[in-house]
Amino acid sequence: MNTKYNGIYRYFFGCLSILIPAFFIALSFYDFKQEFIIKSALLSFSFKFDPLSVFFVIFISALSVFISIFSIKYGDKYDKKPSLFFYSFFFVVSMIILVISNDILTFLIFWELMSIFSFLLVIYEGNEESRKAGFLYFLMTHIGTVLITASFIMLYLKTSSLSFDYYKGTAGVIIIAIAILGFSIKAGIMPFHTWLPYAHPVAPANISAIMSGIMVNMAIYGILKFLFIFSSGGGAFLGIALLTLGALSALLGIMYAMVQKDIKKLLAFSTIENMGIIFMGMGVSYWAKIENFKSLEYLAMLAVLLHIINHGLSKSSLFMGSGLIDKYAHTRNMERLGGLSKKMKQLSVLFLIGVMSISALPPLNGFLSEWYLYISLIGSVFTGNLYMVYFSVIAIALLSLSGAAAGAAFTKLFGITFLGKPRTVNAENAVEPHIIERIGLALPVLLCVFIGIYPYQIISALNAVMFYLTGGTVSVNPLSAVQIIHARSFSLYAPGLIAIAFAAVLLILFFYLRAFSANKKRIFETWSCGLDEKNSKAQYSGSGFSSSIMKVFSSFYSSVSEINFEKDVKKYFRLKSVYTEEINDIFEKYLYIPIGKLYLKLSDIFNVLANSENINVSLGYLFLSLIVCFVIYIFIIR
Amino acid sequence: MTKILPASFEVHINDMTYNYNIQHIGIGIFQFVIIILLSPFFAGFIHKLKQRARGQKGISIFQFYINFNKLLKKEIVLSKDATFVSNIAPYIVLVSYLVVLLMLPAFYRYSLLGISSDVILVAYTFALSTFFMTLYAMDQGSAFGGLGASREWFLTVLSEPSLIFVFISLAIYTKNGRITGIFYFIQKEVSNTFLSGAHSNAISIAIPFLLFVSLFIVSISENARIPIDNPETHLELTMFHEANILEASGKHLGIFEYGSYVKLTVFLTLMSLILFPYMAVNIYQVPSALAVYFLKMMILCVFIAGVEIFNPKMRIFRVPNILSVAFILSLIAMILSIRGF
Amino acid sequence: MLMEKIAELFIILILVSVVLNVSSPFIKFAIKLYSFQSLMLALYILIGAVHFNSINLYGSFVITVIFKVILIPYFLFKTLKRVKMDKEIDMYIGIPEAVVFAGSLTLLSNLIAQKIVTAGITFGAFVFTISLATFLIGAMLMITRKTLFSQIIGFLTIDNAIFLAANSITHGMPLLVELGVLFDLFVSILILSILILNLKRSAAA
Repeated sequence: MNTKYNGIYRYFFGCLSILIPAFFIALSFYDFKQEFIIKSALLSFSFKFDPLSVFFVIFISALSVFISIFSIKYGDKYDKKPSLFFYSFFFVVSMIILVISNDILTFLIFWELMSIFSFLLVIYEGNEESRKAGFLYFLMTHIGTVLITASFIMLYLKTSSLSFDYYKGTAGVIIIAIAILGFSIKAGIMPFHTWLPYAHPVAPANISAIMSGIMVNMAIYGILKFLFIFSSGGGAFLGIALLTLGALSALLGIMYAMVQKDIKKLLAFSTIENMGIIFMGMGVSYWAKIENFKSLEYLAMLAVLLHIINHGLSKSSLFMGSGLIDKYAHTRNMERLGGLSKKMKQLSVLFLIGVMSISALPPLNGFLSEWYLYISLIGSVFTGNLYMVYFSVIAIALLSLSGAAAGAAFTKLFGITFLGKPRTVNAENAVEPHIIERIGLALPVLLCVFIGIYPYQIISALNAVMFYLTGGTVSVNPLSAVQIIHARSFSLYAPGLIAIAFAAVLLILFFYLRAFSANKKRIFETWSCGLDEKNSKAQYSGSGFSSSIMKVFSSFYSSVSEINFEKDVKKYFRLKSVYTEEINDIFEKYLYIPIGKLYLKLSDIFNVLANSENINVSLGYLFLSLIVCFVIYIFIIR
Repeated sequence: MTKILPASFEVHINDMTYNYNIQHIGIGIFQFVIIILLSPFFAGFIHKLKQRARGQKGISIFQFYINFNKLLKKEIVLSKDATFVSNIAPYIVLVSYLVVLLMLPAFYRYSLLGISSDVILVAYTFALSTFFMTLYAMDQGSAFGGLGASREWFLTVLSEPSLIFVFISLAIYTKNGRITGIFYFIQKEVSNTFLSGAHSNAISIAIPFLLFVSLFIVSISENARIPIDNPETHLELTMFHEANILEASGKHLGIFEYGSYVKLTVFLTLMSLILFPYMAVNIYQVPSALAVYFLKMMILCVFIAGVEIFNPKMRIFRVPNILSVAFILSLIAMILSIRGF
Repeated sequence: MLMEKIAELFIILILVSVVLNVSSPFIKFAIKLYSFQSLMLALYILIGAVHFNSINLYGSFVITVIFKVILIPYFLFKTLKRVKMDKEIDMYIGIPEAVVFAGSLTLLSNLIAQKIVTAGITFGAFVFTISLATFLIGAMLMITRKTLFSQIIGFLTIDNAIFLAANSITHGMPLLVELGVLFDLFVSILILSILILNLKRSAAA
């Protein structure tokens, strides 16, 4: 293709992917209850704007606008193969149409389109690694699609209608369980997460931002729809199961994130953690809905909705940042970076705020949603239900552990990458990213700060969604964050007040020190025990940083490490020693690989059986399968 | 068909509208300032006790004030590799401790930030300070900084769940989510039970005892005291906290040091409140409450110094053993507090 | 009312001492903890005795103090000194995991106690929870540790747990039964000590 047009191509799709979401935002603000049906000869698509889908439309559109602004400049890296912009445009559009679709067929078609376009984007780089990740992603996501389709077919058989309008309050426990299973593969919840840490890092950074910030939330959309709209009530254990799954993935996700060297892989595992947190909220909310603890239901639902927004904002900004690091320092491996903060000053400030937000530190938005989740977990302890008490106590324990571990993981991410001395020449030669890229990154980060300090607007906007899903709202006032209408609130957190207190104390301290202390500064080299000052290898490495935590929680990992020395050299005079470390996922090692092996073994057996030269045997198989089909038809379907 | 909520879920804070009048604000500021001023004294007192017990003459109790003043007058030596993080981190570390201090009802019930003194907020504000302190440590590119940061997070990952569990157990035990509310509830119930002999099921001896022990272990680990860390050492193999601020100098070092005194005081105050909550509710009780507070803090200082004197420092990988005990003790306390429902 | 709360503290201390036992790899400390635990049990019985003013319980208190707080730890210390095994014990699982496991056993026993709570227990489900948890953790001590001493300590802990449960249900067993049980225990500890000594000797030979 003529490279002259690539720039135009990029700008065109960049602008289009800004305009289309903007159009949808306008459409959704126009009228909440708008419905429309597109009919053609073969298919008819029906769409509807309800508060939940409007929430998701605005969420997807806003985030994809930020990412599009970012990609206008960032995308010039991919000018040689501009199909990226084509695919990503349709990827975003298919997600937007997915959340407004109002019948099974539309939903499944756009679900599948979303999966296919994201698959094409995962294998975009075209190397061995991305093909492998793409295959795994394709396989897993289609297992999920099969389960989702199965649950939809069961719904169809029950109501004999394709439209979502007729499904309200019809789905039984089994249907919901199957759907949750299918959707949690897409969300990357812990036993089904294996594709996520491979697929998210290999895609281009702007696509990873879309996948991690937006696409995984489509699964949350599906589950919310099943649990709070289609559900016929009953099955409180489903809530407890969601809570347990969520707590497990919150803890293990962040524990695996902590030991990664690749920045994007760390972020991908952190996505698993945050999905776990959202699942915990949904579990509590659904359980409370079934057991009729109204205020608890609203509180947990608010935690879920807020966390979707917070995670989307901070995660997409961090993925964009990781893309910029990759672009300007030419590596994503933390062990080869370091000292970027001197070269990329503004990026590092933005990245720091993103990191603080995602590790849930107080004045920012990540803490707000995590706080709501804590409060709803404490609330479910107060309900005194025999089982829920124990499960929520365990969930609080796991959540607090994962909160602390998130702090450690993101300190490692920021500290090793941005602080200290540069570890390689590439890191030393990094430059500040282009202004458009910084703007694309800054917008979600600023929103993070805004929501963290002044959540009044966003919570009152979320009340409409809450009312649609649960039939209740949370009252807010500009100062405080929580006051529940039905049962009185349990505690109070006033983010604005805390932010003001922080600022005030900081100012007083600053002026006090300005008045009473010497204001002299001297720049000098870091003391390094009299050794070679220029040696940046003397710094702590990323794997060194997390090794002590890894040692304590060694039962979560299956790691193999070894040190190789040069031979024939005395112990204290070695010039070189090589340390290799391999950290495997326990689920991958003990669940997926054995299943794969079993599958291969079985196929070998069938291969021997089926590849017979004798035509009579082949005919016999045909006959046998016909009989089996009849038996299934007679005994199971009839 | 709404099921009636169990009675315990209906319980709420009776002072939801937390009236700020001039008296509350005045005494709140007084409380805040006096604890800030006292905190180097407590640290110095512990230091003095330890030195006396070892048979040394020891520095003056007020030495830490002098140190702080001296450090402020000195120049800051920044590393070549230092970035903006080094310039803001000391302030944020100290400010996050001070914000926690603003929430504590040490001897007056209506602390300045008492309206929003949620327990989880307190725990996560400590995490904020740890975050910035470790970033400061990694900023200079020294090998010790990374070591200190790694070890600090190692401790925090193990002790933060216990801290949150202690707080949540307190919240469940008193059915109250704010620090001010929690301790006022305990104070009220204790005085009802022991002074007027009223029949009260709400309080227990075992729960505060367990929480006190748990919080004690956590505060030893968070404040870098002896069985886990040694605040006086500068030997790289044994450093936890000190390795983080090894590169700090001048004003920055002063701020970090003061921050560690304030943190120690915050933890001691929390322990003193669990041990025996006595808070003034009006201006006339303030002198006696202040005296009781001071006395309690002295006793706790003696206690901490005793633990430091009679214990050797632990190996780093033995630390999880004792911190897991703290965690399980707070878990048992939580089991005890939920048994009522 | 106050009595009950103090009794609660003693019972909790029994559980705490077992958890501490799980967290420490030293045998000497474990024996001291056992002595402390028995003392707490004895004090709990004493409070019951004062409360019900029962001579049986007073007797039980005295016997417990003599046997469990003084005699058995004394013999164990003596044996320990003879075999010179005062170092860290090897275990099958790490200490933090074991402690967390002990905590989850406590949660589990609370759940069980909530399920099968019966009338007539002095403190309702509470004492039963603690004794069940102590029982389970004692069994865990026996399973996860590699030294014979730890098995003895685990066995004694289980015995204390059963004693606690029995005392809380029955307001004191007949003195004769209690005496018999304690004597059995004492004899078994003696036999085990001799066994350890012999094992040590034959291993050395």
